[in-house]
Amino acid sequence: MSVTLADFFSQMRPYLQGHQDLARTREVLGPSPSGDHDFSFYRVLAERNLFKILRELYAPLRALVLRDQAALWATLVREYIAAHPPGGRHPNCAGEALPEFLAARRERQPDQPAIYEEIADYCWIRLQVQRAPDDEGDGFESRLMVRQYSYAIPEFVAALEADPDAAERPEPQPVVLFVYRHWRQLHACSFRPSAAGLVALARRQGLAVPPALQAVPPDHVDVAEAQLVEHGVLAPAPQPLHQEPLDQE
Amino acid sequence: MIANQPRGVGIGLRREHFAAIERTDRTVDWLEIIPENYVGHGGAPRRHLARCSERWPVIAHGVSMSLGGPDPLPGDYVDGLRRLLDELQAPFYTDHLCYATIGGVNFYDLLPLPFTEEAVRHTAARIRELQDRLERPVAVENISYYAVMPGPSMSEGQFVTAVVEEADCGLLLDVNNVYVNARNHGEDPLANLEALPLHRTRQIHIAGHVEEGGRLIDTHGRALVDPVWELYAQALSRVGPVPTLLEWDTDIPELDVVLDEADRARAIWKRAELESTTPARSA
Repeated sequence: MSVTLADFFSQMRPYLQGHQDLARTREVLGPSPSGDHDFSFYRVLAERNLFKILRELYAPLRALVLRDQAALWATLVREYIAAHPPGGRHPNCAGEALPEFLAARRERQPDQPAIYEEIADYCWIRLQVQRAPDDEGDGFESRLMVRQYSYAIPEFVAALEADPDAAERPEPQPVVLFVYRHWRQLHACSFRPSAAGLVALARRQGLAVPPALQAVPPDHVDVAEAQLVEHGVLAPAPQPLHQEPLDQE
Repeated sequence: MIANQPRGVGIGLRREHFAAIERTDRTVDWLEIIPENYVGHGGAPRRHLARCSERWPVIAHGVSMSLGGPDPLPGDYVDGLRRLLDELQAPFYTDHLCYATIGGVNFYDLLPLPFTEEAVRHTAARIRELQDRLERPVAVENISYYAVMPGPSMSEGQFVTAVVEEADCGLLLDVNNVYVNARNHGEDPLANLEALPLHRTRQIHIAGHVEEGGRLIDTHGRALVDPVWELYAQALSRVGPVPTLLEWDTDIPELDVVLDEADRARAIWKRAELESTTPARSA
């Protein structure tokens, strides 16, 4: 049976994605000389790869879901893969849309805890800030993200990473958070800024300060900025070059 | 550009070993990276890579180029890859003789092509294009495959040979893959090794595998088995002391365990080097 490459790829894509069964694929492409059992192993591998990527990217979320609703994890992954076929070059890209997917799913299934999508978002942005490019000026923009969560997510994630069975689900508690790559040590961190810290960040970014924060006294902002530098959120502000006056002849 | 030619036995640079490898005083001849982890990324991995590249030659071994696939080679990524290779002064680039992506959907695996003339022409043209765009030679790896795709008109050895010859590129000879494929398909590993275009070998890979459901799976997750060590020695006797990479990419142990395996490979490699420089004794 002569099959063109175009035919081959047009059949393999839906087959590997689980959208087309083996019988239909074999009907068009012909049988594999290795037999159906070996040929179909590639579909197993394709799904297994995505499960592995998501397991590694979202280990704390997976631990929580398995602990609380064991059968749900596989359902979530399969629904997610179907809704978001993986396309990015790096395997991590396969997990990029999980937070968004979970939020959309909760709209349809309100019994799904909101904390799932917040954990997923935190896991994702923690990875992103770690690996953000270096060459964006001082690397400031993409190595720092600001979030408002409904729970103390970093602490809960740390507890899940330490011992999922012992990690107690936190009570709702709105938290504003900087998730960032330490400007010098380069590891991912989180920091809860004060109002003055938010103003300090806006000032450094050259952004307008929101009206609700305009009453923060400037000296508080200076102190907060020093704290952000101390925690590695901000690099020390560049000092203006000191120039000696030129001697006039 | 000054080429940073690898020699001897290298290991993969993995994030689990970033700190340990910078401290080690054990022999590491060269390093291999997965460039997808660095192109377009910054932070600690780039800092570690910069430090390591000051100490060792670094070769990039890609996993996502999908050289046999239907999608165009990715422009921005190839440009970024070329810049990385320039920074590393890498004399060549390696990737896999496979496809990974169809119509923008990435399967994150090294998937086998049908062994056909059309696939040879298609893949060889893309390898030539990649060599032009990277401005350096490319070597492609013989992959492990668990099934022959439908409609083959040639064997794996004939397919790899035809692609490499038509592309005028190098072969990254993966000895473990030769062994895994032969075992899975009921063939002779040595015969399959010899069916490959060994004269084009630019680099060798060796690794461990696991058995699952009666099938050997190329996991790079454990020590080599004796038959693969023996096949490696056989390969070196045919291709000479080609730079060799000890791969360990899953269930990654302490650095010293990986370096112990690399030491074992280096002993075999040095014997091959000695034999290649010793004139044959006349009878």
